[in-house]
Amino acid sequence: MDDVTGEALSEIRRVARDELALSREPAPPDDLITDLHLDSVGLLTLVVALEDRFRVRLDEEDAARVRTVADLVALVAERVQSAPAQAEPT
Amino acid sequence: MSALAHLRGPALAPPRHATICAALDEAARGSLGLTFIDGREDELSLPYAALARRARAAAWALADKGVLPGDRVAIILPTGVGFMDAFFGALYAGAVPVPLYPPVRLGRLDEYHARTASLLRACGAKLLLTDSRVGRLLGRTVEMARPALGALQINALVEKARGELALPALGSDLALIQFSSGTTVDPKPVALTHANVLANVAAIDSFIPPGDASQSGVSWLPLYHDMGLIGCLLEAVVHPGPLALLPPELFLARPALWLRAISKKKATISVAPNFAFGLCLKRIRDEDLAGVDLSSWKLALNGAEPISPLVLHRFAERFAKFGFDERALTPVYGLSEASLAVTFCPPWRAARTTRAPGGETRDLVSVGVPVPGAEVRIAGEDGATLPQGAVGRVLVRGPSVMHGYFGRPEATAQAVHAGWLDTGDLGFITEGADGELFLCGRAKDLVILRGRNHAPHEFEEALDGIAGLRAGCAVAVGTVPDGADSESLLLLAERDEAAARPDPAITDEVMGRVAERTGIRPHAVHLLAPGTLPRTSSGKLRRGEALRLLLAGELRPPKDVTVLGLLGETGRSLAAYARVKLS
Repeated sequence: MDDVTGEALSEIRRVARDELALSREPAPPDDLITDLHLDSVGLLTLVVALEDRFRVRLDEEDAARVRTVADLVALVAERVQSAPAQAEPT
Repeated sequence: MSALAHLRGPALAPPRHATICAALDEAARGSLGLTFIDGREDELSLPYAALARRARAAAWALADKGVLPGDRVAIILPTGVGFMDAFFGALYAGAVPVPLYPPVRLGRLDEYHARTASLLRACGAKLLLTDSRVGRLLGRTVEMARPALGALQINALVEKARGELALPALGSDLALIQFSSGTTVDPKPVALTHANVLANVAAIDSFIPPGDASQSGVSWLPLYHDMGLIGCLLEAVVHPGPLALLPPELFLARPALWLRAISKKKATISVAPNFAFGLCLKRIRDEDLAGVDLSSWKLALNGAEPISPLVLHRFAERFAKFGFDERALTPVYGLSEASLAVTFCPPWRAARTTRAPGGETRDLVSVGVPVPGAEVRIAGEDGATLPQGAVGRVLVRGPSVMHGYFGRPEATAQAVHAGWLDTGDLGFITEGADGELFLCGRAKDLVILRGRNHAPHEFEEALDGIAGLRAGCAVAVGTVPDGADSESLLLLAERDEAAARPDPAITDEVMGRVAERTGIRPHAVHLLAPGTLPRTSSGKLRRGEALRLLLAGELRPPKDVTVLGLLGETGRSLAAYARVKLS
């Protein structure tokens, strides 16, 4: 699990740097909206990048429990764990 | 002696169908249809014949649930088969579909519920159609707006339908309602008849070679917006031609998928707002486009927000090596109150630019001449037509000007006089026999971001209660920053000097609050000394004037502020601005 957690955080940082050109490196306690100032396009970009990278689906209703970078990392880890093994990239 | 600024489009051939359903019935007799493209670039096809059959089943189910002709049926669904079932199903049932936007992924829901509930109430929706995924999130919205028949899942309705229904309708019946601005403060439901919509679709269709089966479209535009719904989906059904649809969120996250789809489908037509062309420049890498060929793309329409000549130029230059032809770029102008299209540039011509009268240094892009059936004139404050070359309010008349704002006769009377719709935009018509329309500002306060209109209150209200700001002393304005490629949001807020809070902390809270409440990240926040914002004699803030002063470097605090105080204020403001620009 720790691998996924670390990978998810580095993917978030990569998207923040390469795709969204954020000046600040996201840290786990950062609130996605009030600290990182992500707008709707920023959030979407992040979600789609994570879904692509980890072959998981993050639902709209997950919004209710994701406020911070750490929440998002935990959600990805949880989805990867519950995903069937054959969904792993080969 | 200048001629008057009044342009008439060519005569409009009468639309071939009286209603949208009649157009779909005809398309259903052919073999063409829609294709949905997903994130893996897999395709799902839905021929018009299947679409019509499913929609008639949906209509049966809607009538069975108690939907009557004329009832408004709100639709909150992603781009997909379900949307088509709901939209055309409502039409076959004689009801009025009202497409609304779904929640943003990972976005905060409180504001979404409040906004969506106010839209549902504004159109008096009897029922909300959704799907199981989005529906799980809409409980609060439904509870707040209480549509008489609640919320239903469209897939279940279609599956359980035990018959088909197609009620006859008239061209003068309401066909759909679209919202002109997504705000909670004053949502205006634009009500369009079948005749309004079909006249506009016919006008757009006059730019597409008739009977040419090789014409095909690709669109990622949201179907709850006039350009995606009327300009792409309904245009494809009426023509009829093949149309490939991508969900908007997929384009926003991975813009390369749009251009890849155009290449793969050999599409000839695709339309987007200015920001989308800018997003492609920013976010697409050459390696994302391996093997892509854009040479089929003959009509790259650009509309729904101010057009940047710089973006057009850069887009053409950047994608030329993938076969893109600069002449495909076609600036257009329209608004939801006119169904959609008002003016088009002549196709297959390089963009024409000029500068606004009065020593302006900005290059403006021509949005062309009225589409068939439409007329445009430039009027002064008294409503009289101005001479060519003079800046005034842009007025539009024609068969696609809205029936009215739904249930809002006083707002309709304000917007439409003697058939002329006041667009709220400012512009001028160039002199000479080949005069064209140029837009140079807005008479009404409006911020247009990513093709969507926002009332400034939306942003200003988000600032309520922030420590260090004077309550109610802030304005939100939209402008195109130097070197940027599309309109951005600026907030100008007066400081409460009594609060000892440092500026960066205030700026940070403003940025976070606005992003949280509205889903939009401000480009910059300017903190001002008390009394700096210009006001009317009755004390109302003057947004347009505040922006003009800011851009001219003349937005200064009132005279009784000392020179030292002024220096300190300017310094702090600049520091905050610089900080914001970095992020």
